[in-house]
Amino acid sequence: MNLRQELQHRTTQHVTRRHFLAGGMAGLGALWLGGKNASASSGRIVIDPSQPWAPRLPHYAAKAKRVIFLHMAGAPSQFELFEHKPELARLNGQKCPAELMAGERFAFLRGEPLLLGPQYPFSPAGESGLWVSDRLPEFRKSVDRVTFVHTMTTDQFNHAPAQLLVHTGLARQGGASMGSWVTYGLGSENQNLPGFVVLLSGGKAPDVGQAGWGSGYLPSVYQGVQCRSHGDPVLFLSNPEGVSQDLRRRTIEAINRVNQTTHAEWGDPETITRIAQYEMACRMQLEASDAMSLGDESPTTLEAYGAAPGAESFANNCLLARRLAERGVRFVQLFDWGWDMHGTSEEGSIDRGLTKKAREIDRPMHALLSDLEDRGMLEDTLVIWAGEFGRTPMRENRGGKEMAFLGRDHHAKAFTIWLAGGGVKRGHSHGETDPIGFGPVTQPVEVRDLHATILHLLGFDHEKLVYPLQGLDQKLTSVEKARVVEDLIA
Amino acid sequence: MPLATRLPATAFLIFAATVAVADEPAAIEFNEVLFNDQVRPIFVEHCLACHGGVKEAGGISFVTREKALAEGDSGMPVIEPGDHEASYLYDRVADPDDDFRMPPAEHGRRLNEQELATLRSWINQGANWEDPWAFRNPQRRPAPASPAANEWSQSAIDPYVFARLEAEGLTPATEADRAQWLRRVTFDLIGLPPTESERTLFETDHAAGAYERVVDRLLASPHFGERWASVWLDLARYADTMGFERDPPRDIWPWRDWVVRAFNADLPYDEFLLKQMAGDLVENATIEDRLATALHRNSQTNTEGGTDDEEFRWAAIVDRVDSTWQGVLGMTMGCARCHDHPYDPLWQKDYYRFAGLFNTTQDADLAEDWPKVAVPDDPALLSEAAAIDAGLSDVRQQIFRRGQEAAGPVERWQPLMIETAESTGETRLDIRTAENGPEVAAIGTVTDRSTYTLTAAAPAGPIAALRIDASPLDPDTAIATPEYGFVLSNFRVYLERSPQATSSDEEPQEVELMLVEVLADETEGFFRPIDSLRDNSAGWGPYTRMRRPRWAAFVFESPVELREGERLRLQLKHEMATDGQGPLVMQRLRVSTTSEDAIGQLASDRALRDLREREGALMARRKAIASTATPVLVKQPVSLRRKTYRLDRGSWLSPEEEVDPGTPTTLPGAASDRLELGRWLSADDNPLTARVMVNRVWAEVFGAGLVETLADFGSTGAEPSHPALLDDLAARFRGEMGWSLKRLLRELVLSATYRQDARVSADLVKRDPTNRLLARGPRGRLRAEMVRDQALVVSGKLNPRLGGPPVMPFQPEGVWKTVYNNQKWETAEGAARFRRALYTYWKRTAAYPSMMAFDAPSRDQCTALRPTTNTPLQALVTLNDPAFVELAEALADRMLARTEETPRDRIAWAAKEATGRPLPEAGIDELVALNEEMIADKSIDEGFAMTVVANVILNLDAALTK
Repeated sequence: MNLRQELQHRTTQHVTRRHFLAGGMAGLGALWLGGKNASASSGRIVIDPSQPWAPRLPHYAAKAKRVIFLHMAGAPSQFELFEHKPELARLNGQKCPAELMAGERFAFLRGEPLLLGPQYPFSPAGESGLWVSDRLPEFRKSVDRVTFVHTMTTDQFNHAPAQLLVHTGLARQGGASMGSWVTYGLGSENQNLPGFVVLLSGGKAPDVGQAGWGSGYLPSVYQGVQCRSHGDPVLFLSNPEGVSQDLRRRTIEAINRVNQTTHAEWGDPETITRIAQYEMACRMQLEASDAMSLGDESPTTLEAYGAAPGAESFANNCLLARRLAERGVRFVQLFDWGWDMHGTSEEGSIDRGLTKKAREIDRPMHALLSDLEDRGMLEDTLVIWAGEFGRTPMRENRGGKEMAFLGRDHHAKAFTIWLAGGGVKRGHSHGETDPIGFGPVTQPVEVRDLHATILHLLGFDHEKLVYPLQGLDQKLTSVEKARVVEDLIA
Repeated sequence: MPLATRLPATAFLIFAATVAVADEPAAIEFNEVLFNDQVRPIFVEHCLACHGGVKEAGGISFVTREKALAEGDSGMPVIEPGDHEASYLYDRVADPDDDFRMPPAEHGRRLNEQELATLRSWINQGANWEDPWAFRNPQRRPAPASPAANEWSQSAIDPYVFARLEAEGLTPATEADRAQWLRRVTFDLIGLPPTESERTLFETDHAAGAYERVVDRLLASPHFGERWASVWLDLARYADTMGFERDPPRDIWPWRDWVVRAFNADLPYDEFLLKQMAGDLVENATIEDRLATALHRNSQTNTEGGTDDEEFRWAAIVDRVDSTWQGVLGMTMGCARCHDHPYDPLWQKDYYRFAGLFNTTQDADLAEDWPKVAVPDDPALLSEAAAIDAGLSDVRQQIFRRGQEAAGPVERWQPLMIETAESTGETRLDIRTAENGPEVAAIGTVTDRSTYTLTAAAPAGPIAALRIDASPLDPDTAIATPEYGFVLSNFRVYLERSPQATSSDEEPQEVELMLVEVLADETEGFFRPIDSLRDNSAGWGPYTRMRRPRWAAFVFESPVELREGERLRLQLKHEMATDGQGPLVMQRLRVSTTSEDAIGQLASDRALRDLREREGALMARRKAIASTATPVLVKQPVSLRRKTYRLDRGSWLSPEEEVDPGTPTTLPGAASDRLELGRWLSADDNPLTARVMVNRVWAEVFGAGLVETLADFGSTGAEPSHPALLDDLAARFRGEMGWSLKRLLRELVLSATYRQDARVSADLVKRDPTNRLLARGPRGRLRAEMVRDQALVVSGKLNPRLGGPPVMPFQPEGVWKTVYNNQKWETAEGAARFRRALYTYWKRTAAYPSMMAFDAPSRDQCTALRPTTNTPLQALVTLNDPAFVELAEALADRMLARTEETPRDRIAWAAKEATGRPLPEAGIDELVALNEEMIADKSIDEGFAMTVVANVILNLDAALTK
């Protein structure tokens, strides 16, 4: 190679490398790969922008292929469901020890609150003998399928920031949600449905709003798509009045044929991508309508879930989650609103309201786990049940006075979640809290540890599933060191 | 040096170094190694992660020369200029043993020979350092000249582009036809498609200056401001709600209209920034100037119950710092919130000094979103309202000064010996002995809205006034981490007569002693202290946080003669509460009395009475001016101003040393308050602001920035594709163009570069997929707003009204389900349905879905760059969203109204309306065939078929693209 050739070679290399790293791919520009240090880590996700949801392999082979996340928005009380604390019952009505309160911040508690014993009897369930309260008689039958984590801990005690932390790894806006990360990493197995679907029940959106399923700094194709029980299951899925699906197919054909001529004239690769998207939209209309309709479920199944076609309920959403998972949707995120039981109203009380909410989720949770198991899907479907934080062992004294109903304040230090399927142990319990359940005494699990573990179960090294942005490799687990909780894994 | 020659030159230097490895190191040392081009990238890629701002492993950092030349923990010079063999750095990177070499094997690959040679030469040449390229002030650069370039060029940017193309062996595309350029320029300047008459006018204007006439018409259009406001609103994170859980409405649209007006008036960018940073602090600030500061009130306010106002006030400050750096300065300053910047010479202390510039405004994450300026709905009343505001402020200053002079000196007051103290609720009050008299302290569980009753033996002699001094529980820590404050909503004083004094039967046992004046330690707070004499919840006190001891004096109608054995009973009502952790009641207080005439006279003082009357009259006049209260920045009074501390790891609960407000030490210039910050941003020696803005405008017009990472001009960002062009344009933007956006845009859109045809060969796509080299014209999908606005124009439905409150076009039911917020989406009727997308109500937690589908950001935070995605959900929006279908129907009506024409002509006409140019015959054939098929089906009438065709037209790639 002479000097001139060498120069040209190097110039070309420089240019080519820059283009590659700057996202030298049609249409999506720098967004896909970020800055020039993008090559720093291996395990990088490489995406064809014309097929952003195409299935991709994780870093290593893994059990879990998909996730169903059941988020109880508002944060349910562990003491009335899964956290058996006889000592707390004994201490009911006594002042919380001042040394426990020192330095802790609460949303509403102040001064010298009193301890509040569990409101419902607990007993061991299943062969594993794990303790569950009597509010969940059906779920007790599934207890051998799950792993409880009693020592989840967070540093956020307000709903919106805490939900952001659970779903994006950051307590402020701007992060990418877990479902976005997972679809970014794995794509989806069904190109005719969104890879990341969100289902709401309880009559309200979760406190966090759409930031809970946003794609943050990831490309917006990975944001969660909210599917609904009323109106269009996916916004704008149904055709305008008078437009049959045949006519819609015909119009899309016409659009795409004209677009072919446009591409022939202009040569813009984005036009080809657009043609593919219109075809996908057409298929999505059929497939999403079908996936979101419970009409073909047997009465037995509907009965098992307690589902009623057309209703907006957690039961329906659990059944829909199974249908979507079955069709290859990668991440199904449920939010069930109404768990924030401070004791300000009958509905929002742990003595009355909680019984009603527990009844709403009891049967569907059990049905979902057994249905997945019956269909051979539980082994590769990771199911997670969680709130955004726990509740205090003390009775809330909002405004510095006794409240109308029994309630507990937000508690960041300890809460209980469960996981099932997807390579998680069965009938297992992880971590212990102190006798009144104030904080973990063994094996605390940070939210970022849970994220690392979920990604691990899906085949990702959480340190390497990154998106370079403004000089930093962004990760679901954020900057602090996270660890995979091996004890949860079968 | 123009880029055309820069790239090969760089390559040559690398090459020279490579040759040197093979031969003799000394042989290449006359070739100067360029630090920024060759050395810094090595540090960034291989070293800074451990030896940078975050970690200084082994006491070694390569962020600045000073640090790099220091001795590390090893005691060896890390870099010995002139002697690579004596340099520990070289020793370690060249170590042949994988167990010892740097970077360690688990962190990355070994440096290659070429990199080693570069470091060796660089050290031997003296280890010269350069500031990062973006920290060097952009200067004019001579344009590369050649006959071919001169012939092609039409504006000052073109020679740079041409030279780069030439160096790449490429030639510019031919000039676009007029229709193509007109569509492009009309969207780029006003965000709307050209109308039929505008297209015809331009096609038939063959006189010289036709292009210039189009550009001047567009720049003068009132829609120009709307188009460019939408860019600014992304950076400003503008939304019509406050965000977080409850996401309540926020009336900040008057600021959005200010932005539109500013762009329309071509307010120079330096003033545009100054007004938004510190419009309230400029001399003779108008209401519009104060309104401009709402830029940084677009940060979120968290009204969720149980949230800590101070935590989220600080979050808003962080957001203001980060937005300013991302949006205006293009640096990732956010990195320095928790630690020194890992790659660039920006220190954690700089972050907090910069935050200090924003940390002294009155807003504090209050549910009321205070402070606000009442912006008159009728612009004709702006100056009258401003005059009233100024008058009120003056009156209140005078009242404040009277109070300070009379009641401020503590030696004028004697402690009241409080004997009993009781509270309502669960609050327990303790009386403690303090050095300046008894102090009442709240203990245990403190109940909201507690009312205190204090009693004391009446002091001997007359009393003219009472003074309350309230203190934080711990004044030493409260200054940095404030405690909950209080609002004394109502204060009453009663006198219990002694039994022997009540000689007459008619005389009551207890009389109220009437208070008439309250003078406090705050000039213009959220409440008027004198409201503590009235039956409302407003009053005196720090709302909602308290950093310092506070006082207020309450003056009796006339001095009261007290007799032996009489008792005073004081009743203190707190009526304000927050929905959360802390009670807004006094937790430590003392009471004192005075008999001084100077204070007693305040009750009857003529001048003070006049001031109070004027205050009342001005308030009434101001209230009569119909206005929209908009959150703005208002500075704190000096006596109550917050201090700023460096926060350990960014946690607001971990204040470390106090810092002085200021700008980063690495950058030239200085600022100690917001006004100076506003000037610093556009100072002659600020290297960032002009570059970042011209780059942003470039990106809007050409599809990608000269620096692709619009918000990161630092060491980890992309390098400029045309560095000389960027510098020259930046220098001219702030120089000869006088920061005029319109002048800048005029030059860009009239350039030969911009006028190129966007049609591209497969080869060129492969070679330059994102058009960084600019060998063709820009082509890209419309922004979310443009997708809607174009449909409005083409359907003939556009309501061109400018400004005003946000509107609610069609949105499917059930999108808004926010907790604890009963706000409803009420779809507008009539012309209000058809306003431009800019005016669509923007709710942060549930943003308008069809715009989100087209990549509009949630506006939760500053978005410097919108991605452009291409998804099936976008197709569903434009195919099926009733808001779009309605517009397709209207387009069909326009088609059908062309009664003279054949269906084919109508279809061709509509396609031209939607794409700005004739659709090729083959395309029209497709649409005609579709139409005919439908009409052949007896169940479909002509109107419906035409609507379907119109819907198809609005979905064409050529319609969704500019």
